[in-house]
Amino acid sequence: MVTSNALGPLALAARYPRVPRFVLLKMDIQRRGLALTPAALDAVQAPEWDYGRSYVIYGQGSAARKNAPGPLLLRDGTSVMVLAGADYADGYTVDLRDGAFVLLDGDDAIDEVEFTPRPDYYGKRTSRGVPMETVATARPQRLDINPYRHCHFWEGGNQCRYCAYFTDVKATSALADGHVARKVDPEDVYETVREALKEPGRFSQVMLTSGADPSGTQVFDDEVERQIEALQAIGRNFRGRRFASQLIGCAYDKHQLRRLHDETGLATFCPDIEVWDPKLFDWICPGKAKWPGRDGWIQSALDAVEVFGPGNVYTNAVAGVELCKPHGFATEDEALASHFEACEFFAKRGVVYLSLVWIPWRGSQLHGQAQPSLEFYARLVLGLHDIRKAHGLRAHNDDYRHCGNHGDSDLERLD
Amino acid sequence: MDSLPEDLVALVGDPASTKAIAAMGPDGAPSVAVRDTLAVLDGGTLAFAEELDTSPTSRALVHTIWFGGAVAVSVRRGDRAFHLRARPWRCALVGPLFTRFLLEARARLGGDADIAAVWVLKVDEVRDDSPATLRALDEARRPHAGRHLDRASVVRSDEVADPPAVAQVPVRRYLARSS
Ligand code: SF4
Repeated sequence: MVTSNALGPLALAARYPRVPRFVLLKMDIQRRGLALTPAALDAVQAPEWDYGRSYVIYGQGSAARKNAPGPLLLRDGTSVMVLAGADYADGYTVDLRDGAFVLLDGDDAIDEVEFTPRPDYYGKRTSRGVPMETVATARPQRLDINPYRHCHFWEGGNQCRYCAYFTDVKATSALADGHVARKVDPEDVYETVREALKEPGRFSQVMLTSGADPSGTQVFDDEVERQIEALQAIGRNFRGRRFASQLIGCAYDKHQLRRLHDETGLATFCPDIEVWDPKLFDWICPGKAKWPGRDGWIQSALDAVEVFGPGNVYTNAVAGVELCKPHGFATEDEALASHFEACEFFAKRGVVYLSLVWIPWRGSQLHGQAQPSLEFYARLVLGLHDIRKAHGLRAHNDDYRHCGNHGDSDLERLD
Repeated sequence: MDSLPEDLVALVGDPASTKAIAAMGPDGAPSVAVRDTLAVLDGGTLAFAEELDTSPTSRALVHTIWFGGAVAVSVRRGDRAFHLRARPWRCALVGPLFTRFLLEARARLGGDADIAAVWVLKVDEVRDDSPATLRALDEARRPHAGRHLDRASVVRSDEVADPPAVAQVPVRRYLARSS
């Protein structure tokens, strides 16, 4: 991967005194990637760190020979969603020194770090014999479930150009002894969540996401049916009606949203807009442009506010991808202006617009392209945070604790 | 610091001691909070549980770990007291340390008790804050200057025939006048 490292986290922390070094570091690790030294990789094979062979399902893992650790943890409690061992040219390294994990940038020791400890349910099987870690993966405080591991946008080449989602399903399935099925049995979901909840204080939220499936009487009807099935299975584990949850779904219509709200305990909904600019949206996300089009994705978020309430609807942008070649913005300033316009538009309407660091994954069409500077991300997170704050919006369900993927919601820890 | 004085360790471990953390919040205002869960970890580190991410103390600790500075810790029981200067070193949301504090909270307060995080502090400086120690230091540094003369008088003010009683001092009127 190609990154511009003109200014690193330390220099930028001085230039942008409201953006903490930890947030800059987290975004730079996401941007530039992470590798483990042999000593660190050996250390994470220990039972307390070992996330197992099937953790990597996003297409980038080098975990075939050794097991992968869970998300990286910085000292301020934030997690860094990065796949250790992906093919980064100029990434950070984690080494083991005097029994502690240390983050290195080249030869420079940057800070002490940790990995998310392995949850207790890993290594257990459902009554159908399915390894529970293949049903739900664990972030520090969140259970991630993919009830359906296939995106139909990939059929006919309509996938989002930055996406490498599920490209390793075959390889990962082989690593997991064939246990990564396309559709997860809701009973396996129910049993896995039940088991995960036995660990005190380990989880604060359940997140669901699946590949897109436009099939059905109405577009996405089949997908919605599967989400309802999975959410109902999860919901059987809770006493109250609603439980802390997020569904990252597609552009569902009002009737589908109403069903999700009324028939399940879902608390928040997130149809990802990914790219705000209309032309770039159509070019970068051809599947989304077709099913049902950019206006449909925006309308879905706005309809969801009516159903789930203001502040309970989110949408993510793959920040930086709007600069990709050959049709992307020519300057970072133009890209930032587009993000701020989007954030303002959504914030006025009760939708939380969040940014993710774009990683040109191997397996995606944009692999090999240059990423924006870290300074772009510093300016971005500050701007998005300030816009949402001005509108009284907070990313309660997508903050440092529940997600860990958004530098802009990390900043809310001081609000 | 590599280790903490034994009497400090004992005082922190004493359930009857009062333990307070003071830190500067993002708005520049100090916040102070009693944290009964304060415990000594190995070496020169302390840890305590924060119940909420949104508490003034949590926000002040995040601000300090992000932008630098120190927090103050006060531990006291009766006439024994310590004052510590420390740095927030780690915020644990997960892992054995977090689980230990959570289970302790639930054992103490019931199964519905919750904590948001365990904060680990690295102690940089320990000061004996006991009144007698401070008084002795003061006397050594500036003999006589820190005491009222009536304490050194041949007849002390509490030994006269009709010593003034606390209740006779018209503080309320004074306060009313000065407000
Ligand atoms: S909708 Fe786009 S980003 Fe999501 S899995 Fe499909 S191709 Fe990937």
